[in-house]
Amino acid sequence: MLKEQLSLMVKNLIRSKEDISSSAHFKNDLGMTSLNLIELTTMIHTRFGIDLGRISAEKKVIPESIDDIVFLLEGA
Amino acid sequence: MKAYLVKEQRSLLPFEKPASEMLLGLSSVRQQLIDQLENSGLQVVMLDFFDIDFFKKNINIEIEPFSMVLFDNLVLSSAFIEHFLALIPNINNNYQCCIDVRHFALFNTAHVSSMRPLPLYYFGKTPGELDVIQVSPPIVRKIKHGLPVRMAKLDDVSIYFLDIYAIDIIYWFDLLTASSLFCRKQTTALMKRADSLGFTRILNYLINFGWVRQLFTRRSNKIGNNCRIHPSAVIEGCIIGDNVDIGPFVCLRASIILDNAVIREHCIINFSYIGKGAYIMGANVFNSYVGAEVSIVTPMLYNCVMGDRSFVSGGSGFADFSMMSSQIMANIQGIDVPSGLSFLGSCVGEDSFIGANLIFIPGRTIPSHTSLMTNDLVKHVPTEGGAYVFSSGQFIKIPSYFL
Repeated sequence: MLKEQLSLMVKNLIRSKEDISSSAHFKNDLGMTSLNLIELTTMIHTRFGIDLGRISAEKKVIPESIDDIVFLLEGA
Repeated sequence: MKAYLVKEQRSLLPFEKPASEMLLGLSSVRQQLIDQLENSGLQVVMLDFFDIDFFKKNINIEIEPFSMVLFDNLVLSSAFIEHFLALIPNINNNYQCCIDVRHFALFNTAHVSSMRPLPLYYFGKTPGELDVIQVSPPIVRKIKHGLPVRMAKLDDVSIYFLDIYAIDIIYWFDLLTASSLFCRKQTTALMKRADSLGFTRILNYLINFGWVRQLFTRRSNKIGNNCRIHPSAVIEGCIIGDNVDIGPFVCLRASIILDNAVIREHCIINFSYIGKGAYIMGANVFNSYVGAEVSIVTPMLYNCVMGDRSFVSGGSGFADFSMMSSQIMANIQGIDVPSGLSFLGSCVGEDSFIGANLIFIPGRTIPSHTSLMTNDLVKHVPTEGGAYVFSSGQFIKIPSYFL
């Protein structure tokens, strides 16, 4: 469920017509810019109330894909 | 006489270096202090550590009798050492200097007053308890500053010009006060000279005539080499470094502009210190400390401290006044510190970026290496460096990988 919601968010952000794979690399595979990723951070905060940057710094996990974000959100 | 200069170890937050390494004028605070002590005929000896309690208990034996001990975060006016030494009643006793700081801030009111102990000591024959020497700096000139009627509580707001002052820089707002006093020094010297000649009234009348004004302003500035200054710029009581570019209709008063700075058209800069290579466009900078290579593209900067290489985007501002409050509490790393100042903006650390349309409430401290990129009223600033974005009323940290 969480994975689908995040995939939809990313899909809308980059205006992709195809579905987004949860293991796709944000920068290398999806070509997301830093502005896209900042927007994604705020969307995650608005939707789930989670400070992604703080959690990733605490857990020392670099959020490179949707799977990484799911891992961080489920542990929060 | 020997002067023992003790190294202040703590960093001046939010900067990552101690206050003694901050630039004030052409050299650092420590270098200026060393020069002043040597000019006063004192032999400077560096010390890494000094504890006054040890001295009182006669534990510290490194200090020679009849000597001075002072910390290197002190900013003194050129005549202060002589003034302090002249006040010593008995050279065999030990003394600590306390100074009346009531008139040090640019805008000060009758509500703020205190005697501040300084890390400046005179030691006589034998170690032991210290007496206090209170220094009340004489006022060279006082100028009343107009205020809107509804700010009734601050009815006695004045600008004071002093030629004797001393302040130790513990917090960033002390650096603001020190730089303000430093910038007023040039104007104070001019006023004192005019007063001593009995010219003040005649000069005030003659200054209305264009050619007199031109003559007076030309003589009241120190301008470096290779500067490009537009003829329509008004410059009074300023020190300007080399290769400075000043555009049309700029107004500079009682300020220090260092080498390679660029002041674009229509800027107003009063009582401010502008560091090397700073770039200021369309701004009104008042009583502020602006570090080296800072870029300011914001309309107003009142009573603020900007660290080196920081950037303030257009539309952002720093409130410097709280209604019905006699002093601003500065928030440093989440802790409220009483500033003793009625007007105080914020401090931006080194290498920081302030996005567009941000309004900060008074006394905020933005850490070094911080980027704030959004628009809203900011109450709580992050306590550690990083990149943040404003979301649902709070700053959200952006993973460093995202940038």
